[in-house]
Amino acid sequence: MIPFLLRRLVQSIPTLLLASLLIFFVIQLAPGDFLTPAKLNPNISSEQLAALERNFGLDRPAWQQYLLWMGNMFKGDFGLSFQYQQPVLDIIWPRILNSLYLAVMSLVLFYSIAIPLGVYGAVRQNSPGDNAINVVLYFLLGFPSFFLALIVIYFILQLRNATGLDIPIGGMTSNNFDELPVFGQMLDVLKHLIIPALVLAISDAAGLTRVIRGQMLEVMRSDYVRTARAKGVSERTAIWKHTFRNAILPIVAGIGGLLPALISGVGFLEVVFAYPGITPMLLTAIGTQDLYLIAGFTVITTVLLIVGNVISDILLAVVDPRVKVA
Amino acid sequence: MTHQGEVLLAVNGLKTYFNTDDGVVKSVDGVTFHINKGETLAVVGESGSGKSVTSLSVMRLIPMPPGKIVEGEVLFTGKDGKQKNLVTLPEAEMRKIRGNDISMIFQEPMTSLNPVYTVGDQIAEAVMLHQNKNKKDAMVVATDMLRFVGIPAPEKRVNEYPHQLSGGMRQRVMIAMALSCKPALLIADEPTTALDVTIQAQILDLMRKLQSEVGMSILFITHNLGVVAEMADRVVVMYGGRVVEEGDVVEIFKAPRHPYTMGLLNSIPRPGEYVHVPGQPKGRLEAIPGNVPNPLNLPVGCAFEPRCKFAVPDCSKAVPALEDTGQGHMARCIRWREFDQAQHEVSA
Ligand SMILES: Nc1ncnc2c1ncn2[C@@H]1O[C@H](COP(=O)(O)OP(=O)(O)O)[C@@H](O)[C@H]1O
Ligand code: SF4
Ligand SMILES: [Mg+2]
Repeated sequence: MIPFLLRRLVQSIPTLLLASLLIFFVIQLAPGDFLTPAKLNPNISSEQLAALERNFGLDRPAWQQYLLWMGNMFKGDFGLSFQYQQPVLDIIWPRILNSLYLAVMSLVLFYSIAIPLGVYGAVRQNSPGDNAINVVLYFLLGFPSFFLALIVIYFILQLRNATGLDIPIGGMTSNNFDELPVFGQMLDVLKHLIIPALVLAISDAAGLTRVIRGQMLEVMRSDYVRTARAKGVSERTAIWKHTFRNAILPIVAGIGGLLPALISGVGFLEVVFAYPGITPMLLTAIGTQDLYLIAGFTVITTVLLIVGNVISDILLAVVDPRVKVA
Repeated sequence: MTHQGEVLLAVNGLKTYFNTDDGVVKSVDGVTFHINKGETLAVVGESGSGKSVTSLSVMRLIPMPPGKIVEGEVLFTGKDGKQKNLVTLPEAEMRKIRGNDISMIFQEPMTSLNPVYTVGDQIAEAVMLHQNKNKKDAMVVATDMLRFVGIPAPEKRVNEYPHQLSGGMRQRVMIAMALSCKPALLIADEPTTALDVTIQAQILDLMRKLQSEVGMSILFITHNLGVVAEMADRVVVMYGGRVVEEGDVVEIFKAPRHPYTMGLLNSIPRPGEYVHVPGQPKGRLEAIPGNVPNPLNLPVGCAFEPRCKFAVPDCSKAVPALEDTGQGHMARCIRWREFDQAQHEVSA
């Protein structure tokens, strides 16, 4: 296990270098820079501008800026956000955590919707229940998730107006958050998370449900499930212990590949639901060419992606003894 | 070893059909046979003749739907001494019989074990189900069973996964699992077909040895009559979902009364020699010209008629009856009286 982790660490270095290089120079290529608005402002003298340029290192060639930034990053310093005048890490880390909460919550919901539905559909293949699920899934598959989000918001608003229930559909905390006890605060965040997470989970669950159903049907026909039945195991054991356990192997293998889509899906919802995740901040940063903030975010996301992939590799090795992790 | 006359399993008029998009497939269409205690009954026939469906019907493991046992009974006397009709037994009762009174091994050792559990776990699962043992004791039984079937270093192998074992070893594991609860009947559905010739011989030797030690009956399914000579006391020949000939192995080899059996016999070099012919294809049944009939569309009369060189117009009028030709030897052919040993050798 340890050699595996070390190897993955070494393997990830080129990926990281490439990602950082790419993002840094793409931002440089864009016309103007962070100081362009200041330059257009007649109230700022050219001396002041020069001083600003020196402070931010913008007077140096791009490759020097890059090397400097890389060097600092290895010391854990991701540079300064031009806009916020604060260290990048301090600003983006809490936001990234918020996004992670949303991502994890929606993953949990995603699997807890898709697994039971997929298994049910396979076990009761062609039953009225299975057919009904298939119709809904078919509908959802062709349904853009922004539209789903809007519909959900609309209906919750209607519900709120009709019942007076306080169902949050925006932000991450209520106004009285600071007065709540710790447990109450957790519950409050959870309440805010559930709707956007559910929207994301539902709009993606259709595909996974179909995959699980298909996998289950295939494994149910396999020789080793017949062997298990010939041993006299119960229906439940045949389905969960022998069929499901094998049916999810390709799904576990696919978790790593799911992460980029998850990140973009979460980002989209953060915007729609005014959720204080990283994406809204990032969009502003791109608009203002806040170089180090964008670059820092990209590096951290790449690291998180690599970690996510390692975790999914380890998971796969745990569930499938034929996969070696060493 | 044979307790003459004590019937363990009696299959009477079994019909198992499948509902498919193309119509009703009559895979097993009125099959009758029995197995005595301690004996080995072979069921022979080309691929598609309904052997597997017959054995899975006995175990009630036919996928339903599309399959259905539409008629017949399967009378079985369990270890408790009570006779039950397995066709109508409640599913919960049936589960107690599977793996305990009747167990089964299959053709494909490479895919018949669950890849994500150790072989020990998979043997122990049967032991825990039927013998009221905890996991630890069941694993001890599993190790003992691996030793019993001749797997070297069983203490180590018990914790290995199927992919770490060869095909022959996996089939031994299957046998260990099947015998772990000392069943009264072992159904072996082409247990050596997928193995290479030397391993085949080893597995057959092992099965014979274990049978004499455990004393169970074996329903041995094969498409290779050569294996039958080595393994079985009696033989049932199936064709197109029906029994076409049944009787004592020696008797049938000496004087077959059905042209299909004659064809099968002529397609093996000599009984007993099958394992010593390297480079020969495993199934030698292609020697009979033509193909098994489409089970969706069986001939009105004798199912073998399109391929039979003795066919006469009367053969296609109605399905011939399974007739007693003497000494418990049965044949489903209107011309069986004409086939004595001499004629079989001269004209077939
Ligand atoms: N699940 C099924 N659905 C439809 N037809 C089936 C099914 N299983 C078996 N059959 C049909 O039953 C017939 C007998 O099959 P089988 O018993 O497997 O033959 P054998 O074991 O003698 O080679 C074949 O024609 C096969 O196509
Ligand atoms: S009944 Fe006729 S066709 Fe059928 S096996 Fe006998 S001789 Fe051949
Ligand atoms: Mg078969």
